Amino acid sequence: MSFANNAVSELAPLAPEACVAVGICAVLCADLVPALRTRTAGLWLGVLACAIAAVLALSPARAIVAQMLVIDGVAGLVRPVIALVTAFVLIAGAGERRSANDHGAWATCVLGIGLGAMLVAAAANLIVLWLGLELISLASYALASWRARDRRAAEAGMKFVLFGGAASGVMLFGISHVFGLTGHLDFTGIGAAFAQQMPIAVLASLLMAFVGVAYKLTIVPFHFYAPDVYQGAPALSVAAVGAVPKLAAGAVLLRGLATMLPPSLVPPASVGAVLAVAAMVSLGVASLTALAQRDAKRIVAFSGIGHGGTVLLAAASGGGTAAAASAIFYLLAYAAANVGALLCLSVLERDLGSCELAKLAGAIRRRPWVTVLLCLFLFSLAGVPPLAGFTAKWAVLQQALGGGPMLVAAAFALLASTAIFAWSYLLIIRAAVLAPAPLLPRASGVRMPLPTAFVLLCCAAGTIGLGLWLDALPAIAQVFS
Amino acid sequence: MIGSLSLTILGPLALALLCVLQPKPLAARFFALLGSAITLFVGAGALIDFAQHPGSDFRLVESHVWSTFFGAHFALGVDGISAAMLALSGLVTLIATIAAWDEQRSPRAYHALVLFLLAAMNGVFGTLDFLVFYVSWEVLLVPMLALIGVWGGEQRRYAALKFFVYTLAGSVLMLALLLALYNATPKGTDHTFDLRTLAQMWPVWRDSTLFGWPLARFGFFAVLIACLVKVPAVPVHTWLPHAHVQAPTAVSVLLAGVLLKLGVYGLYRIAWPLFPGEAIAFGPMIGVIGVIGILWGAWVALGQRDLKRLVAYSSVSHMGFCLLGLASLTVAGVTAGMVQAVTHGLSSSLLFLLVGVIYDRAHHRDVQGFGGLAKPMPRFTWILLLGALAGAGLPGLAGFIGEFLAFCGGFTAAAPFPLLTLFAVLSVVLSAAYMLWLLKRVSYGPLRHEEHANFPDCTPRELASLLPLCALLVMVGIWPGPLVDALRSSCEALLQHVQGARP
Repeated sequence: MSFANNAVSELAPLAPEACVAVGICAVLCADLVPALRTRTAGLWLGVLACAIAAVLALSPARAIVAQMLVIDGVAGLVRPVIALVTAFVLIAGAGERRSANDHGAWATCVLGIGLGAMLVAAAANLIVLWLGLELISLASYALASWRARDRRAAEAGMKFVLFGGAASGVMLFGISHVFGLTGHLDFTGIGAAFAQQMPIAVLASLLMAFVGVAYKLTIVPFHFYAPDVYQGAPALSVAAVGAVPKLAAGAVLLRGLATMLPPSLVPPASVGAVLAVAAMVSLGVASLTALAQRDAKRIVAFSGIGHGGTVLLAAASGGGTAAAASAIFYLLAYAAANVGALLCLSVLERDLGSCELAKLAGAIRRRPWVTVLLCLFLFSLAGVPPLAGFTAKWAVLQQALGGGPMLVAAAFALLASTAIFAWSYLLIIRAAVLAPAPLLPRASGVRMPLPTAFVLLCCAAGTIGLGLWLDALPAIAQVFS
Repeated sequence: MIGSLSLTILGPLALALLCVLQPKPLAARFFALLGSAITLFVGAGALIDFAQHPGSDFRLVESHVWSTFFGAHFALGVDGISAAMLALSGLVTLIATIAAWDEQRSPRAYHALVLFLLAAMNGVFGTLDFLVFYVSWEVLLVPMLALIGVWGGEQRRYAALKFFVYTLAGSVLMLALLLALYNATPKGTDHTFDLRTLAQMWPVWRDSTLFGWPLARFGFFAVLIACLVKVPAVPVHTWLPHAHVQAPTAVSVLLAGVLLKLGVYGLYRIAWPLFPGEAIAFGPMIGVIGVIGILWGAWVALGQRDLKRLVAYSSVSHMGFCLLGLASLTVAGVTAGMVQAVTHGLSSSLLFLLVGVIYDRAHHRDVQGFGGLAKPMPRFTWILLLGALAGAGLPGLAGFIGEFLAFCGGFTAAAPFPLLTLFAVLSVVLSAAYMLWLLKRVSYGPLRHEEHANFPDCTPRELASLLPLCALLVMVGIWPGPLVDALRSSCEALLQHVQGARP
């Protein structure tokens, strides 16, 4: 009995993950009932599971589960957010995919991403990290190539699988080296072993082991799949494929840096400088390439690459709680604006047939409110105050400007890329709001589905609220310490 | 508690929301009137208070904690300078609303955006907190982008994007400055964005460095660039003619009447108080930029055929006086900069409204395509005469006061300002030339086009927007005392603060 009791008490911190897993089973079972299959019941079951998981994950208890998973401050904060965002995507799915008849399968994939992301966010072991990332990847592959007959979707899916498979292979290769060199797979063990032997070899293999994380954060040069996937997949699925894994990847990156490279052994300035250079490359490549895009979703994809670089910059700014708080806050702001923007694009995509800039003309007449909200989210991504994107950028810049010369250089690169990115977002706004409209009738007959409207309003509230609530940063830092 | 200054920000914001949430265009128009009337009421009230009881203190002060961690406050308060600007923004928005009363393209959205713009402008003019200043400064780009880009002319999209990117690039540096000031705050001192405290801390900025550069120098140039783009000073003025030509009349009025003043105001409120040492060191340089703007704007205005471009370039010329006056660091000059900002707001608004009046009738703005309008449109011609003469700086009209004070300040200042002022005086000839030439080609001479004979004279609604400006131009011209009194104490205090930084 005591064994069972121990097992229960040890696994109790994983209740949110268990809840989502049960949710997946429930969705699959519901899909077997013919009467439920064509209804959105499966989606709402998923929403319920995610909501319960979010509430459970809010528990302030901190725990280490068998050296595999750690519920520390970062995980404690990010896991409920992941559950919440997953729930929002599912709710939006109930509005946007009403006419579909594959709700169960779609919900399963989205929930799979959510579950994988929650595991990754709490991972304290390279194997768990790899498993979590694979879970995210498998579900994402399916979502990306959902429209199997669409050539773009097929291309996106193929690219995604090939790049993802390669990243996963490199990662495993790195993990095996780390294990061979240190005899450990858990982060703290690696950190302890790091002191004694072959730092360069371990560092190199660790770098390989984190390729999978960089892939999910869409850091250059692991970003090539993102624009095609964003363009090929339905906008709503992109919200799940793009934003949710980024939250998890950011969280595990912060934990990995803090535990595996203890500042006493590796000078944080050198790590910071390397990461800052990587961030600069991402920001530069993404902001300049985005200028040449002719599809709104591709622009959002490149913006995601830039934002991944910014998170890297935040993580590079020393291991302190303030830097970690700025990274997490940045991810929260990004998630709110990104999900909102993609949902708006999803509505427009359904109405106008495509998110190509040329096709977006007249969106403001046809869907005035959705287009205005799209502008709001894009302005937040661009960092216009007082929206969340601005406050988040402010926090990251403040951390970086207090660091070494390379970090300061990266901070200025961030400022420059902000101005360049603004132009790309303006291209979308120009296409949707300013372009001469081919007198589309206002979509008065097609009412906005209630679930979609609800999620849009929540994202807008988050975007404005996080922007005005400057004291969120110290509040987050307090959770971490 | 919500004070009257909060009301000028939150009121228009709430009304903007109401505009789009209710279905009636007429109600939206009245909301816009109400929002600008509130601002005018508060601003003019404060200005009259400063005229009656001159002082350099901040009045109507209120402060609400925004972030204890960053030390940011929603702190509001006005001195003479900001009271004048607030009154101007209320007045010009009120008049622009009357001018756009018949706007047919999505009137609810239009008036909501104007109210949104008004709230942002009031946020810039009314705040005592650098962070709130910056946020408002950035936010007002958004409604301007939409107002020019959606309601503008042929090439509106290009003009709107150019406007947005120019000013955004200018303000990115200001963001870097905000962060640098925050990080340079000495340990043990509470972080703050309060402009009064930041101004008192100027020796700290002078002594700290940012990559080997004195922080004060970086900061001065960051604010300078952000502000000079808005003023606009030569050579970063090229967005202005585009924006003006493409913007609808009422938006041109807002742009010339209020938005150009933001740049000058930023120099008065941020650059000079926070970095007085740099203001002294680089004063002559700013003076030169001002004089180049004065002469270049006037010279280019002479060659314009498009009426709006002509008035836009005359704005470049007139705003140069603000820079010259401020840089001269004399009481007369510094006061002149602000007086000129107010009077230019009145006269350029009037001229843009008049251009709008004939554009509505002739549907073109080519100065060659008019002539002899005095016969069919006598009232219009009288008002145009007044506006042109005010723009040319005729004594007895408002335009004269600012230029005259700026000359006084320039000639009494240290070298090289007397020489610079000598050049600036040339512009009196140039501005008289282009303004009178404009008048001649539009209104006098034989009637060039038969169909112009049927042009109706100004309608009552047009007169309602034109006459208040005329009255104010005459009033300030013959009785400038109250305006100058209200501004002078604050300008003197600023000057004293800057002179305190002399080694």
